[in-house]
Amino acid sequence: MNCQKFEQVVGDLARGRMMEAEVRTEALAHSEDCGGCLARLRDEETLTRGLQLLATEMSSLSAPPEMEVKLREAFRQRHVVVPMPVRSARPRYWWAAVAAVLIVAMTVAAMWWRSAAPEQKIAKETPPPQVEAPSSPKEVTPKEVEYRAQNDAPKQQREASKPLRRNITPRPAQPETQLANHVTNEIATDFMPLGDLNPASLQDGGQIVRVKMRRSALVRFGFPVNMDRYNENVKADVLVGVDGLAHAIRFVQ
Amino acid sequence: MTQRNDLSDNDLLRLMLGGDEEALAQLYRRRQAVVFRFALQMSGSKPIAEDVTQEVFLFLMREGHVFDPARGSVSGFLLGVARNYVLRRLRVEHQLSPLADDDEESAVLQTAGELCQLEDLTRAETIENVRRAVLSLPPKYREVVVLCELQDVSYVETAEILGCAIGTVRSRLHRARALLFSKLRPAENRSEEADSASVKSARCFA
Repeated sequence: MNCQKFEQVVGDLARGRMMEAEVRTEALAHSEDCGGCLARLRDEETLTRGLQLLATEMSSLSAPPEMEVKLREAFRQRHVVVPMPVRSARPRYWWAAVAAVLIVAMTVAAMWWRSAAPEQKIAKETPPPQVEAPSSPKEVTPKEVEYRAQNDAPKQQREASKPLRRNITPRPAQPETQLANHVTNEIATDFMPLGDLNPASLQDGGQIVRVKMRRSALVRFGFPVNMDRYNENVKADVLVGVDGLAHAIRFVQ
Repeated sequence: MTQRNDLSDNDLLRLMLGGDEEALAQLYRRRQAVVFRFALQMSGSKPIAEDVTQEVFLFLMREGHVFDPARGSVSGFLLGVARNYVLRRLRVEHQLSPLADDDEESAVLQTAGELCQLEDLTRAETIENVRRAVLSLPPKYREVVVLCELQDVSYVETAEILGCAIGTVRSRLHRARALLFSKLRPAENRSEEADSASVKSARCFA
C-alpha cells in the first residue's frame, strides 16, 4: 500500500469502521513503515477521540421537560379545534346540508301537490255555475216538492252523519243566479216613506214583502198613470218593520 | 403504555396523526433528544435548539402525513426537518459561520490563537475546542460531522437526510475532517505553514 491509498482509508481506520481485513492489515503495516502516514493516523485518531468525547459529553442533553407539556397542549388544541380529517370533513358537511335542504324542499313540494290535486279534481267534477243557471228556473209543482222532501229526508240524515268536509264542498249557485237575474231584470224606484218613518223602528230589522197593487195607487205617490191601464196591477216592495207596520214602499217594473 | 413502548416509530406516528396524544408523547420522548442535540451541535445555542425541537414536533403534528416510510425512518425525517429549521434560523439570525468555502483558510487563522496542542489539553478543554471547531465549519461540512461523527448516523441515512448521494457524504466528511485538523492544529505549526505558504507564493510570483 502506498501513501495515496493509505489516505483513502485512514479515516475509517481511525474511527474503527468496518473495512476489509486485508486492507486494514496493509494500512497498519504501511503506517509502521511511513512516518508521515503514522502521524496522519495519530492525528485522525486524536480527532476521532475528541469528537467522541464531545458526543459523549452531549449525549445526556435533551430538551427541557416543560416542552412536552407545551406540545401536549398544542396537540389537544389542534385536535379539539380542528379534527384530523379537516380537509375532507368540511365539504362532506356542506354536501350533507345541501342534500337535507333539497330533501325538505322536495317533501314540501310533494305535500303541496298532493293537497292541491283533490281541489283541482273537485273543481273539474263540479259543473260550472253558469251552465246550471239556465236550467234552474224550473217550476216545481207541489207534488214534486212533496216527493223531494220525502227523498231528501234520509239524504239529509246521511249528510249530517258525514264529516265536516262535506260542508265546504262548493254549493250550486242556482238561487244566487236566479236572484241576480231577477234583480238585474227589474227596475225599481227608491223607497218612499209611508207616513212618519222612524229609523229606530228598523234597528231591530225588517222584512221586504213583494205585493201587487192597483196601478191607480201610483197617483198617490205622484207618479203619472196611463188611464188606459189603470185597472192593471203593478209590483211593489213594502218594507215591514218588526212591529208589523209598513214603513216604506218602492215600485218595481 | 407498555404496548406503546413496543410500537415502532411509524406506528406511533400513525396513531398520533389519528389523534392519540400518548403516541405523540411516546414518540417525543423517544426522539426529542436526538433532534435537540443535532440542533444544539449545529447552532451552538441552547435557545435555538429548544425552539427548533419544538418546531420540529409541531411540524410533525401539522404535516406528519407527508412522511413516507419508503424514503427513510421517522428519525431521519425528524432530523431532516430539524436541519431545515436550523439553517433557516441561522440565516435569519446571521449566526452562520462567517466562512464561505473560499474563506476557510482565514477562519483557521482566526481561531488559531484560541487553540492549544491536543495532547496537552485536558479533557474539558479538548471537548470545548472540538465543539468550537465544529461550530466554525461551514454548514454543509458541519452537518455531516454532526450526523456521522456526533450522532453516529450511517452514511446512507445521512444521505437521505441531506438529500444527496452517499459519495457526496463521504467526500464532505473527508473535507470536514481535514478542516477540523487544520483548526485544531497547534498554533505554531499553522504559523509555520502560513509562512511557508507565503514564501511559496513569493516564489511562484517570482
